[in-house]
Amino acid sequence: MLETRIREYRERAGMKQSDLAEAVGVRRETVVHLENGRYNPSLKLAMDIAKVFGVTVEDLFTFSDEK
Amino acid sequence: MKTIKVGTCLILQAVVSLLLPVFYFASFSVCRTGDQVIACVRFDLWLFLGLGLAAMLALWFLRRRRERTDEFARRAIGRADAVCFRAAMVFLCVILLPALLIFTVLRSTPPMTSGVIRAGQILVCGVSALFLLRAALFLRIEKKGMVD
Repeated sequence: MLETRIREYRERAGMKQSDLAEAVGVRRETVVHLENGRYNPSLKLAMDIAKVFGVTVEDLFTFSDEK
Repeated sequence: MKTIKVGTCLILQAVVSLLLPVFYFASFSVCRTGDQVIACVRFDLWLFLGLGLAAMLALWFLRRRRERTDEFARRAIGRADAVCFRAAMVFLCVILLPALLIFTVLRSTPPMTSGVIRAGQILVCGVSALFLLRAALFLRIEKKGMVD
C-alpha cells in the first residue's frame, strides 16, 4: 500500500491543492486522490511533486506491505 | 476562459451520442402491411445534415473548452473504455445476436428488415448506452479514486 506525505509537505509549504496541481500540471482532483492514497502516481508525477517540495520521492512516498 | 470538467465533458458526449438513435429512429423503421413486415425508410437529408452539424459543433465546443486531461483522467478513461469494450462484447453476444435470431427465425421477418433495421436500432441504442456507461464509470472512478 502506498502511503504519502504530500499533504504534510504541501501544508508546510503553505500551498493550496490547486497551487500544487498547477505546479505539476494536473487537476486538483488528482491531488486530492494522491493525498488520500487513492491513486498511485506515475514515476514522472511523483518526481515532479518531489521537485516542487525540494525533497526526494522516498521522502514523499513509502510502500508498506498490506496484510 | 472557463473550462468544462472532464466528467461533465463525457456526460455531454453521451448526450450528443443520443443524436445517433434519434436520427436512426426518425429515418428507419419497421412497418406492417397486413401480414408483411417491411422496412420504411424516411431518410431526410436536412435532418441528417442538421443533426450531423449539431453533433460536430457540440464536440468541437467540448474539445475547445475541456479542461486539461491529466494522467489520472487518462487512466480513468482507459479503465472505463476497457469495461465498455467488455460490455460491448457481451452486448453483441447476449443481446444483438439473440435479438436478430428472434426477429428473423422466430418471426419469419425478411432478412433485409431484421438485418438492417432491427440490428441498426439495437446498435445505435447500444452505442449511446456505452457512451453513458463510459461517463458513469469515469465519474465513479473520479469519486472513489483508483488504487492498483
